[in-house]
Amino acid sequence: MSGKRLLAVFAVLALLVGCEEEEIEQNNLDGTLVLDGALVDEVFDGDARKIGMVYIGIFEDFDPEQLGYPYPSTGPRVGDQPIGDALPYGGTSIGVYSYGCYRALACNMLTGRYPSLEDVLEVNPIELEDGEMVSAETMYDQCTWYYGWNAIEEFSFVGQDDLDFQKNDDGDYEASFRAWHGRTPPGARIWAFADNDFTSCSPDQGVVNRRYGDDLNFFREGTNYADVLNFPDKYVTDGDFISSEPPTLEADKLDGYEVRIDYLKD
Amino acid sequence: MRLLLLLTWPLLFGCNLDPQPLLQNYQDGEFVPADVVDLDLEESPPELGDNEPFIGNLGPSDVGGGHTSGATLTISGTGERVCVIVDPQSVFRDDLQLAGDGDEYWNPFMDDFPHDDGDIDLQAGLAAFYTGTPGVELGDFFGSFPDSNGVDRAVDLNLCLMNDLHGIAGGTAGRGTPEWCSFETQADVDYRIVLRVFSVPVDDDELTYALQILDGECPGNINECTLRGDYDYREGLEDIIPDGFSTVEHLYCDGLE
Repeated sequence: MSGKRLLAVFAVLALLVGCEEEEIEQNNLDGTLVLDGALVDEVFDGDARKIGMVYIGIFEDFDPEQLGYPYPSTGPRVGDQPIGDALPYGGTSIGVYSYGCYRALACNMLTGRYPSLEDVLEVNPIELEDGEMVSAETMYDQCTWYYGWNAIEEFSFVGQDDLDFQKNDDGDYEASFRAWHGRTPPGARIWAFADNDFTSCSPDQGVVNRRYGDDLNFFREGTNYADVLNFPDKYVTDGDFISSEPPTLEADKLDGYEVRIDYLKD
Repeated sequence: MRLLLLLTWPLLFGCNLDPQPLLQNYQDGEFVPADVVDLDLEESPPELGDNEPFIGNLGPSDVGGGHTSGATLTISGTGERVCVIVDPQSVFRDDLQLAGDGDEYWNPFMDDFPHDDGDIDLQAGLAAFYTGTPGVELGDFFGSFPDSNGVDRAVDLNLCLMNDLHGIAGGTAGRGTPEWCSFETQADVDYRIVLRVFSVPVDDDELTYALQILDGECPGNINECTLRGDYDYREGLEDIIPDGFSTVEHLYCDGLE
């Protein structure tokens, strides 16, 4: 064996020694979220573009009694906290807050909801200081300036192929999800809610402005608060959708779960 | 070329890449042990309802290394709310008192370097849940329990909850800035108050602080001047701080009145 080959073998052996199984029980959990079409019809007149950010969490158990609406079970209430921490094992979301190139759209827009810029502006019309309404062309120019995007395919918040929800034969809206790297003990429950009024978005957090506007003001693009799955009750408000019968995790089953959102908080 | 190498060689020896001197608890070539004070053993320990703040001193921490300096105090619950206020040395934004030439490192109006702030984080909870040993090792109020699915869960039982800028519990104030909280107590049950040193002033690696425990809710407007005495005294300051003020805190809090 030549010196170079020997060196390569030693290098690989050294790398292998560096691999260590930490034995942390974490798994990816896959499933489908089904949003009752009747709720979308009732609240949004059938317009799925207006569905808020859907938070999906894996929780110890389910407690429909504590707050008077479907809610995960919680840990002990500590100090002045109004309720205990729901102590999620893990979770994910369907859609994320996205900055729509105009300050007026901060904390008002999600990914996976709009097929085109025209759709964005139909749901979120923007009026400029001179009274002119922003057109799709103007928004395209604004976004290419703000983000440096060069083609509509680069726009992270529009695209027919990027829509999260698809309407199924029953008239409900389906979206697949994957909750990455969570604990998945048998008996845990998958609970979800849709924050339809963006209560969970913090305008003072998120990415710092990539460009300055004419006012030269510093701002942030907005993102979700860090404790949404720990204290969902802080963000669940009237008009939000909630799952009332969260599925239970089974042993050795990490996919195929259906989480149905079918309860309107009012 | 050779000349360039010869000239560069001594420069390389001049590079001190040893990170240890950057640690606040590394002094004179060795690590200083954590300074853990049991205030209950003080000759005149701070007590609930004291009219004047207790003034104490603490040494540096190595936060990353887990060697934390700090102090603990035990109070007996009253069945009502109690308020705890701690103000670490010195005054927030004391660089507002810069010398006329803007020199940040020597300023005749300051009692030491302008950047002489320290940072103490405040915790409190049932003494039974405290994991440290007063006077020996600082602890916290983390506990754990197996949930109904057999998973071991951690829970923070610290009752001293302060919201951060975004309204989320668990925030702490920054350097030189007072921290405070109030919490409900059960009568005749022991509660432990914990002061954790996050950073000490760089000039002397020693942090002076003021501590007061009050009955009821905390006052509505707590600021740098609520508790006095969180500064290092140095002789002769009366001669250099203008208008007869003897300390920078005095100047900061009363100078504009």
